Order: sequence, then C-alpha cells, then structure tokens
Amino acid sequence: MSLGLTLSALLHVLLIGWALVSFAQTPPAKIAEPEPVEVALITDEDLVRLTKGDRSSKNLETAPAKKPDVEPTPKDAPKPTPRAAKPPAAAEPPPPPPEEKPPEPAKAAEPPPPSPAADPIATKLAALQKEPPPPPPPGPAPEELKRIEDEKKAETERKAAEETQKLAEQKKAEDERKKKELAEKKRAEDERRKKLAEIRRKEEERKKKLADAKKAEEERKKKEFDPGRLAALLNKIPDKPQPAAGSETPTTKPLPKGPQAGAPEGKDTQLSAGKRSMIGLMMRDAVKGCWRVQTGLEGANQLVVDVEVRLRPDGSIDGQPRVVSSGSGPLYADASNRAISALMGCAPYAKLPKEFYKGGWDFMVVTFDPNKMF
Amino acid sequence: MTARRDTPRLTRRQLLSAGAGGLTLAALTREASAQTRVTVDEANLQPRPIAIAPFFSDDPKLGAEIANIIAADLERSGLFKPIDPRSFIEQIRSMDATPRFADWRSIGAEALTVGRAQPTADGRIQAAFRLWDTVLGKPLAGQQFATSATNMRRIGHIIADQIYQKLTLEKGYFDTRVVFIDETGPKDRRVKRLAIMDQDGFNARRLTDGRELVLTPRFSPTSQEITFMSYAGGEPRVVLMNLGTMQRQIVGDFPGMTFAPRFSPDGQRIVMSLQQGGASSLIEMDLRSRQTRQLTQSPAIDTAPCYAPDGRAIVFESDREGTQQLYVMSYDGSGQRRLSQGEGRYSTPVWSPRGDYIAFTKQMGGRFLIGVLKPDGSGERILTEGFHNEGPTWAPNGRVLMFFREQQGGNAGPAIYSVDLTGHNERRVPTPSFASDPAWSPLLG
Repeated sequence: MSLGLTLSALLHVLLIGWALVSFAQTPPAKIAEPEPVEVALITDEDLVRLTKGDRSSKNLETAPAKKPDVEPTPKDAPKPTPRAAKPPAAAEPPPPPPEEKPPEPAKAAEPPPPSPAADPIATKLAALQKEPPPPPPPGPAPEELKRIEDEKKAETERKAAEETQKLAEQKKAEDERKKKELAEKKRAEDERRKKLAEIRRKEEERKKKLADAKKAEEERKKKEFDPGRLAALLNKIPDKPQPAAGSETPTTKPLPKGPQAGAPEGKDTQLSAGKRSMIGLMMRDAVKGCWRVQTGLEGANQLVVDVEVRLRPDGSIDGQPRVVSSGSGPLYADASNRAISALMGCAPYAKLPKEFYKGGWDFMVVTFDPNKMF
Repeated sequence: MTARRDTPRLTRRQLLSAGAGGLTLAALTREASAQTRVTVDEANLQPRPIAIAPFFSDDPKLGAEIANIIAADLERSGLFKPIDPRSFIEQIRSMDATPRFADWRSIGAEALTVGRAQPTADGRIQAAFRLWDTVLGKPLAGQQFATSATNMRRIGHIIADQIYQKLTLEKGYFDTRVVFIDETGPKDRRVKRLAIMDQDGFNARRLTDGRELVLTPRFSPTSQEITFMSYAGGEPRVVLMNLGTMQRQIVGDFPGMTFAPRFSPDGQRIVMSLQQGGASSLIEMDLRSRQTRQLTQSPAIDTAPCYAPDGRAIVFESDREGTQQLYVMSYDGSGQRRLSQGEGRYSTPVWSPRGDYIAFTKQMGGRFLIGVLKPDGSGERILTEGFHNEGPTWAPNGRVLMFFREQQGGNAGPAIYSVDLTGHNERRVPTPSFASDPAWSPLLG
C-alpha cells in the first residue's frame, strides 16, 4: 500500500509541477477586437450647412420652374386647406391666408424619408416647384401695385414659414438619426459584451478541460497500479520492487533529497570538474584565434565580457550568443561586439568531443578577459 | 513498534516535499547547474584580415588606385591585412547590394569595403564607400563626398581613416602630411632643403632651393603653416611659411637661437630656446603682438620645448642637474620639475596629441633609443633602438610616431621611420632622398 501511494504521490507532484512550470509559459489568449463601425458625428450647424443649398445651383427637376406671380390662381384654389400637421409651423407665420400656407406639411406627412439629409433638399425643391400663386388682384392698377406688394410680403412670409418648417424637419431628421446611432452603439456594445462573455466562457471551458484532463490522468495513473496491487493481494505475492523508481524496501538506496540535475528527465547530465575543465581549454583554444582586442585605448585592456552561448551537436551556434555581464559606454559595447564576433567567427566548433556535449559544451558561459595580455 | 510505523509516514511526507521542492528548484535552476564556464584570456594579435574591393568607376584605373591607397594605408598601420582581390569569391556588382557574407568569411575576411569613385565633367571626383562587418553580417559605415581630382589620393586616405576609426575606435591618421628636411649629396657637402610629402611618402616636393641652411620644421596647429629655422645670411632666424601661398614671413632675428620654435595649440604663440652666453633659456613669443616672455632662467642649457595639447604645460630638456633630463613646467614658467628618472641622456621631448605620453630620444651606453613616458614621469618604455635614432614626432591620433635614423656606412644618410606606440611595426618611410627631422601635420580634413 505504501509503495503504491508513494509512487502515486510522487508522480502527482511531478505532473503538477511540470504543468505549473509549462503552463505559466503559455501566451495569453488573444481577444479578437470587434470590428470598428465608422460613425460620423454631425452637429446641428453642420447639418444646416450641408442642407442649405446654393441659390445659384441648378434645379435638378426636369419640370420647368414656374414663377409664382404668373401662375394662375385657379390652379391653387381647389387646393385643400393644408392640414395642421406641424403645430409650430402653424403657430408661427404672420397672417398669411390659409391657402398660402405651403404644401410642405402635407409633404412631410408622407411616408418617412429614406435618408434624413436628402429629405430637406427634396422638400425644398418640391416647395420651389409648388409655390402657390399670390391671391388674384383685387381691382384696377393702383391695387395692382398693392397686390404686388402684398405678393412680395406673402412671398417673404412664405419663405420664412418654409424655413422654419424645414428647420423643424431637419431637427426631426436629426433626432431620428441620433436615435439610430444610439441604437447602433448599443447594439455594438451588446455584441462586444457578448463576445467577451463568450471568450470568458471558452476560457472557463478550457480550464475545466485541463482540470478534467488532469483528473483523468490521475485516475488513470491510480488505475494503473490497481491491477497489480489487486493481483498481488489476491495472489498474496509481496510487492516486487519497481525498476523505474526507488522503493521503500530496505535493500534499495533511499531517494536523494534536494535538487537534482536534469530532474524532469531523470537522466544524469553532470560532468566531472575535470571534464569541464578540458572542454574549457579546448573551447578557449578554438575561440582565441578569432578574438580581436583593443590594444591602443586606455582602459580597453581591463574590460571583461561574459557571453552565454549554446551550441548544437554539430558545433554550430544555436541562436545568438548573448552578453550576460554588465557594462556601459562605447568601449564596453565595442568589447562586447568583439567577444560575440570571436564566438561567431570561429564557429562551428566541430572538434569538441561529442560524448561530452550534453551538460558539457551544449551551453557555456565564455569569459573574455584581456588583463593577462597587457 | 509505534516508532516503526511512524517513521515510514514521516519519510513519505519528507519525500513528497523534498520531491516537490526539488522538482521546482530543478526546473528553475536546471540551466544554471548545467553551464560550462570557459575563460579566454589570449587574443589574436595578428593583423585583421580585411577585403577591399576595387571601387566601381567609369575609369577602372581610378577605382583600382583608390582601393590600393586604402589597402596600403591599412596594411601599413600593422593592424590590418588586406586580402588579395584575386581570391575573392563573390564578385560585387553594385555598391548598394548586401554582400553574401558567407563568401567573405570563407576567405577569412572580417570586414569588407566596397565603393565607387566617378570622375565628373568639371574635374572633380564623386566618391562613396561602405564598410561591412562580415562576421556579424551588418553595415558599419558609409559616406559619400566629392573633391577635386587633384585630391584623388586624399579620397583614399579619408576613407582609410574612416575604416580605421570604425574598426579600432581610434581616430585615423592617414589624411596627413609630413614636413621634413630633404638631404642630398655626399656626407661632407650635404644639401638640405625643406620638403613636404603625404604620410605614405607620395606627392613629395621641395619647398626651399637649398641655398640656405634650414632646420627643424614644425607644423602649425592649422596645418596650413610651417615654421622652421633658416640660416640664410649666416644668422639663424625663425621663418613662418604658408603652405598654400608659399609666402614667407620672418618671425624675428634671434641671434643665438639654438632650437626651432614650436607653436602653442591655439596657434597664437611660439616657444623657443635662446642661447645667451653659455646658457640657453626658454622664451615664448606672442605672434600677434610680437611680445616675448622669458619662461626659464638658469645657468644651464634649457632647450627643445614642447607644449602639452591643452596648452597648459610645457615639457623641455635641461642639463641643470648635470645630465640632460626631461622637465615639465606650467605654461607661464612656474612649477618646473624633473620628469625623467632613468639613466642616460634624454632629449627632444614631444607631447602626444592625446596628452597621455611624452616621446623622447634617449642615449644610453652608446645606444640611441626612442621611448615614451607618462606626463607624471612614470611608465617609461623604449619603442625602438637604432643608430642615431632621433627626433620623434607624433601622428595626430597619438598612436604612431615617426623619427629619423642615421644609416651606417660610408655614403649612407638619414632616413625616416615610423613605429607604433606599442613598439611594433617599425617601417621605413619612402622619401625621394635622404631625409631627417620629420614633423607630422594634424589631420588635413
């Protein structure tokens, strides 16, 4: 019982430890950014400016423009009294006769415009077209003048009314648009929140999966020993010592306590001091031919540089040598470059003994020290 | 029996914790425990192999010539070994292409220079170069410039200076000139003329016609003027000559002058020694006001003064304590103290432009030596020994010296040599004829 439990516990620890160390290195999950939606904000002033139009611009409608003061009255007479669709518009204008009220409210009451910006223009165009004629001249020539005056006044008043009507409509369109924007924003926000929640959920799931996997692994390991133990119990055979790990029977040596070199693999990669020293000398002889030092400048002959270098089994450099000593200034930078150049220049180091690669010359710290030479 | 039952439980617990602790520790320290440590304390002091490709040019001779100038300069410094272009593997097609570094490393090159030199219609040359580190595989330097075609050799020297500086971290010295005394004729009737040449011996030309005795030329800090002693008219006088216009100016008649003056680093003053009676003292003159000031006054012979590069001190030679030794003092003459401590006779001290050494001539037991010591008098080192070694002068980077040496034999004459501050790489400097008393200019550019 004790043997199995020990083994199980040890392997648990191994697995958890490995998991801790390796999972700590996983990169954080990438959260996909929601697609940005282009939203252009237009102020009231901008809208007015946009839709103001140009007096000199061409009338786009094909029907000929009719001057208001020549249009015959009867055309307009049967026109129904415009509905009081807009309270502010109705309240504003100074006493124009009802039939002079522009047909705009009628137009505005029509089905909602497809886009807010175009509507006021269309409305204005329509208004230009359908401007009602002035009332018929009341009498002979002097009244003709008055008529023209009246017409003019009516004209301005009408125009004013139009303007206010237009502004009201623009504002309405603006409000509608703003409402739409808000709705859009809210929708986008909701989507993003949903996405985040989704990601969080996935993360949870993954964690759960990992935990499950771990548990499954543990279960499996536990189960692995069950048959043997069971059989042993049934057969009343004492537990045989396992070759893979140490056991608690007195005859085998106890498991070592404390850090072990290369413990995860459980292999012994320690080289003796003598062997390391030999590798050091061979490496030194191989590198010194490529090491160029500063001979002229004061202080250059005191700069010591330590470089970490990893070699592949064929002697070539794995990655880039890395300076691990600290120092600053241009002389130190130059010394560092020379040290790295020396290592790179004399690579590959094919003459190093293959049997001492692992734990020997696979990973070295090379110190470049010029002090002895000067 | 209870004790026995307890022990296995404790052992297991210990085991678990030890195993867990050990596992964590091992996982974290696995790297440190498996490192082999190597110490490299010997370097390759051989000259660094460098590849200099012929420069691209519509005139192939020009391109080859510039590459040759660069290669010769770098080789002469003793720090580089240009690789024979015939062994190049990759044929560079364009100055802007990235080289195949492996090809250059396989012929042993640690650095590669490529360049371009195009003559233009208006008599100029447009030049450009690039320096690559072939081991690390990255560019180190590059520049383009233009100059008149008469300065063709200077293009090579300027580029060589840049390469030298990038690879040694020291300023270069190739774009410089040397003024010296050109000597011709038999020993007893030597004709001495003032002459000037590039530091590699090219473009040598004479500045005086030989009818006057000229000695000890020196460069001004601007490198445009030289000063020398002339015995025209029988009396020594200090002459100032502008190298551009060749105009001469008499600084003054100084009867009894024994040694040519040297400029102060700001070019405003000169210091010289004047013989009066049996003694010789150091005098300073302001070149603008022509006012003189006596710096030393002793019954001894004080001579051969030289300013420190910051102008705040002067080193000189004096026999006030019996033998010729080196002394140093403040620029105003105060604080005179002895520098040299060894045996022998010290003379002709020159302060390095870097300020870190003073070079000198030393005579000891019949031998002539060129040496250096630190401005505090310590660290004396001999660079070279030879027959009648004399008169060191520093390159502007304080790394190389020239001096002259009397060659032995019947009709032999003096010759100029160069040597590195480390005492290595001694070389003869080619001159049209016998030569003595060299003085090295500052960098021309």
